Amino acid sequence: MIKNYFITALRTLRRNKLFALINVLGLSVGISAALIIYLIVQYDFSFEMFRKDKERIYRVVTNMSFAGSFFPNSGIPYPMIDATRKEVPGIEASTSFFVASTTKAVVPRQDRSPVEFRNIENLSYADQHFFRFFSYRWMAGAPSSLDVPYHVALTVSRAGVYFPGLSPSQVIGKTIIYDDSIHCTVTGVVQDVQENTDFTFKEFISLPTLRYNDNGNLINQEWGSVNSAAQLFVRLEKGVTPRQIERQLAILRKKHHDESKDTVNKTAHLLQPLTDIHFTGPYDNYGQRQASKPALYGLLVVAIFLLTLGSINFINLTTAQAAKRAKEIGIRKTMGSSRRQLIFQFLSEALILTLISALLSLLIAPWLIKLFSDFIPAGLRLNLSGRPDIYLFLLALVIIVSVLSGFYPALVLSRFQPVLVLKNQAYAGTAVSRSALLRKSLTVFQFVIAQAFVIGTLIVGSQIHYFLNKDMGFKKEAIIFFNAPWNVANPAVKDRLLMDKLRTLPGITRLSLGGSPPASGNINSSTFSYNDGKKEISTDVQIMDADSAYMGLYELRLLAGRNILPGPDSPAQMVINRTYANILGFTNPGQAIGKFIDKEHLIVGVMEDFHQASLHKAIKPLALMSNKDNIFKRFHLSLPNTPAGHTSWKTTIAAVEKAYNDTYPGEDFHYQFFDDSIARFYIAEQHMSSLLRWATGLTIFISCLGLLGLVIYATNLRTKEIGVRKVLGASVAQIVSLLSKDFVKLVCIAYIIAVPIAWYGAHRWMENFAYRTTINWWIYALSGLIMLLIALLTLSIQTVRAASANPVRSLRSE
Amino acid sequence: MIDLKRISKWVNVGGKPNFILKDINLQINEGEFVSIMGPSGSGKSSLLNIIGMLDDASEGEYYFLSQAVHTLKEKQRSQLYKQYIGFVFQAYHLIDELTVYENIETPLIYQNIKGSERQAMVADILDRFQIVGKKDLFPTQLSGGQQQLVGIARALIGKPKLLLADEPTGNLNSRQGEEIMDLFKQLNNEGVTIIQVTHSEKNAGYGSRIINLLDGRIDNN
Repeated sequence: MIKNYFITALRTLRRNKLFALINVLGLSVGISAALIIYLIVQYDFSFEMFRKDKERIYRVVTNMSFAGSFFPNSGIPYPMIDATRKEVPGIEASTSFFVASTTKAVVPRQDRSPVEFRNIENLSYADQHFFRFFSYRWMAGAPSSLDVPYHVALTVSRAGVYFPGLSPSQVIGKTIIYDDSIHCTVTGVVQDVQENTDFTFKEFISLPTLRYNDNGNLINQEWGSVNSAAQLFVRLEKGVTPRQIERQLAILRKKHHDESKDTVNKTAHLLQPLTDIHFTGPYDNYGQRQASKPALYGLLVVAIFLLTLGSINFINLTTAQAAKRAKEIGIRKTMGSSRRQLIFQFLSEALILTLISALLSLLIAPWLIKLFSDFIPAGLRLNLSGRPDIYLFLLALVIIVSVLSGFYPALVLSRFQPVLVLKNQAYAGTAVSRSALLRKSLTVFQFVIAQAFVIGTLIVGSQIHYFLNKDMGFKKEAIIFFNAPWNVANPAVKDRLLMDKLRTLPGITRLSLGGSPPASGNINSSTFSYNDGKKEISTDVQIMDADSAYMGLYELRLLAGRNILPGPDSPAQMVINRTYANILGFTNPGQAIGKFIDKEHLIVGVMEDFHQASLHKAIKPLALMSNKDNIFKRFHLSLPNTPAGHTSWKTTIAAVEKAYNDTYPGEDFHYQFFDDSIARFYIAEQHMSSLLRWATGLTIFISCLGLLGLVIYATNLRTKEIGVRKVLGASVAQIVSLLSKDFVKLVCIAYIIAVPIAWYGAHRWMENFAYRTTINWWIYALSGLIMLLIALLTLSIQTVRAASANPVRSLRSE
Repeated sequence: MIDLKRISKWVNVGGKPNFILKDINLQINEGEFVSIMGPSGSGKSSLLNIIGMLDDASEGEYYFLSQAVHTLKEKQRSQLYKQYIGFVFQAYHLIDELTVYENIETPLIYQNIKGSERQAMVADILDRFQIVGKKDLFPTQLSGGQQQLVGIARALIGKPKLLLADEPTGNLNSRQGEEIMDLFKQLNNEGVTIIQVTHSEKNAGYGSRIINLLDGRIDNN
């Protein structure tokens, strides 16, 4: 029976090669996109999922608010670790560790010179609970050894880096010297984590070591100080809710550090589920890539759309051909076939088609994976062997898609009455006209999606164009900047030394030593108050470290007063922006000059507002100040921005690098172009734009395939009519327009439906940005025109041929 | 075998019933060879469809092998005709996608007969109709007479007690027609009850009884 189904199905497909091809193409694009999206989504959602009791594990994080601005921090105050462990009930186990910054490690060797390892990453200070809490497998040694200072545990892979060729037990007892000062003994080797995790630490120095040797000032006994490196994880007892613990933590905090009198600053401790750490949010995940849940859901929606569109093609083409199949159905029914058997027969046709598409999609997938490269995490490979879940997923997909696309046509076709069919009356049946309406609705649905994607692509594109080209209030082009190393001896002296060297270099038009460039992700702010004689005005003000060359280099516009000048440290000079001046109540910028903020900062100038962050955010009060204590200095260089000047950039930068290396031997030189760093603000939007472009392309492709199938069917059905009309004198153009009219109508209806949907979606999306482009009516008009043109081109493939066919032929064959 | 009592069939045209069959009373016994004749539109095919259970009567009672067909549910009815009735059509109605062999095999599949048994039965009938050499051809590769031969083979494969033929020779030339009618005669002699619809007096002459229909009524018996 089943064999018979498949034979019939295969023969039918062979007989209708064109329709089979259209279906297979559409479905395989949908399936391969779904496959890749499955891989991405599965990968990102698998993080930490392998851990035992993961649903009870939380990270304690901190939410600070200063005068209305929120500062989420993934760490906690140091004293909280012990206090939580001792005083908060409902916690089954806890562990704390500190994320260590990049360091240098030296491995001494007997009789030979020591080996030095620079820029060692994935380093942490961990307590002995860590390994039981996160269940590590110990190859040598025991977790309890991390209770003692100057002990370190390594993963197998890291042990292999330091001590190549030694077995885990041979590594025990060896010495590693960190940052020339911390001498540690290896007391344990653990297995690397094989599963997907953000806990990529490979080196665990015993936590007590910090108490004896804390160069980076990681430990601070104050409750008021929160360090993002200090991590506390808790595993709740069964039945305890995170909310209960959060309430306990609030009580704990109040007991040790009563802030209730402070109305400006507030601090709260929250529990972040372990499985949320991998996803974008306010808290970081040890510098690993974070996946955006909305983006993943967006991808899922795209996959569902593409699959649906492919299925719609199948439904449309199958029901359109129903009349052709009617005879066979009638015969089978008189032969004794039940309706159910017929339904299964048609479902098996859909199944075979989907199976072929699935096989084809395995071939397309590697190619398509390149298109999605922006979304594909680095750790993800399309590796079909050893991934039974991929095959299971494909199988499930094949079954779902074939039922989705096969069931309705099967119902329609199996409903035919044999008596009517055998008398050739099936066309008149209501079932057929009803499915014609359905076909039209489904086609409209396809084009609504395609049209909405087209509009979305254009709007996102124009917003990105706006982002990159809007005047942000400063100069962006031909400026490079780089960090001054801060962990060297006497950074300030070295910085000045390099400045002097740079000043002698040709090819640098301006030079400044300050903090971050005008727009960056780094925000440093402080609460300033100003007394205007009547009341205190307290404002959260962003502070930018600048020297006297800074304003000129970035071409910030001064409205009143003067630039910061080298001079006495007190009173500290500040140049404030117009927004801050307005908040302080100065209607005319000049009025602010000479006023004191917090009694010690003197306003010497007022500058025009500029965007100190990406255009997602509004302009905030800001002050330029010279900060001699800032150790995180940056060098800003402006280069000649002329075609002739461009040619000299390479040599200039090479000279700068040489001067840098001379000044800071052993440090790596990394520079950035300022406009590149601005463009990086909008990476999420750029990704979205490229996703939309591909989604648009694929939906148009699939929808037009379906349209082509339908028009081929319609022209075949009307062959005789076309012949008669031609004999009566109709021109090719008239016949083409006659044949295209019905379909163009559908595309127009789709446009009318898509515009409000796209308008609403675009509107919601634009609300994410403080500064947005205006969407002109012509974007909508253009998108409609593009769609119409594509549809007409698709239709013309068939209509022109049908219209120019010789009528004698079509009439004779009838 | 067949007992029709006051069978009527009508369709509503503009709110008024338009009778296709009216008050048909008819008994047909096992082993008969009945020819239904009458002008176009007299209801011949409708009567045949009702007897073949492809269509319902609007009114009246139909007993087939003493079972009240008009009271049966769709499923039981299909069970009944799958077992006892074979159809032959004027336009052959073979499935174009299937070979001769597979076309003949199809009814057996729907009767849930096992593969090996099907093979034997199909081989038997191919042999009997002397079309073994054509078993792998598709219907479009055959002449009209050959297609009808396959159609009859397909109708007979389930060993029906009753063979219904709707103008079986209508699309054939006279020589092919004669061959088919000879075959019918032979089948009737083997015990198969046959009801055929025909326009041709000559074909009707092969049968044991002629029923004339006129405007939905039996004219004379």
